Amino acid sequence: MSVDPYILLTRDQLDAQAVERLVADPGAGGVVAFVGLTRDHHLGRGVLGLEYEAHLILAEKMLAKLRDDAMQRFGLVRAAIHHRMGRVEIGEASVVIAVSSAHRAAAFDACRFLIDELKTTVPIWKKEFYSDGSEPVWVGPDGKPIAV
Amino acid sequence: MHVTVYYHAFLREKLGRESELLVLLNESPSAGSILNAFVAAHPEFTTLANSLNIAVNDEIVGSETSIQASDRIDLLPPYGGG
Repeated sequence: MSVDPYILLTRDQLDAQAVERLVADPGAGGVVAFVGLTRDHHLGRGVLGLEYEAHLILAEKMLAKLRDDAMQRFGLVRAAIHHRMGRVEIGEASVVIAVSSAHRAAAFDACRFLIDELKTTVPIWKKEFYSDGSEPVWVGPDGKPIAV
Repeated sequence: MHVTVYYHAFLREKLGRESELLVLLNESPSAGSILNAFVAAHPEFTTLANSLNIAVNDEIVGSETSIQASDRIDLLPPYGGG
């Protein structure tokens, strides 16, 4: 696993405030965080929980690269991305992204950039489990089921 | 040349296996040859093949990248992080 504390894929519960503290800095005027939570419904169906898996080596590498890109592009002070692996229950955080910058606009923009890019460029996969007992489904970046 | 291809998530479950030995017919195969061999072995994935990424030795590569038999090759279905 990575020794970079700002990039983490973990089976443990995420602590959004800890990630915010990680990026706080005397040189930063603000911290913006995005916390993705497991929702109890999707496309009209009740959701019981999610399960995440990843190509761990590649996903860590790509998250670090994404962080580096955002740091440079938005002139951030610090940025962190923590993502859950394995089973995630309703209401729990699946992802926490926190960034700090001298001024707020860059932090808001960077946070949005990071979650949008994460969804389409990082090899992490999500399976949804439904309350109606139907077959669990792997969900793609557009939120729709992956199908052949 | 024979290569072992590793499957993840949707692909692994749909195929019911974690890896598979694929035969590449080209003399000097590329990542694109792997996709062709995959679709030849599993024609039901022809449409989805356009949305797959290939990782060689833990790097995403384009279809022109050349392949060695000893390479670690992962076929990656569409992502769903976040």
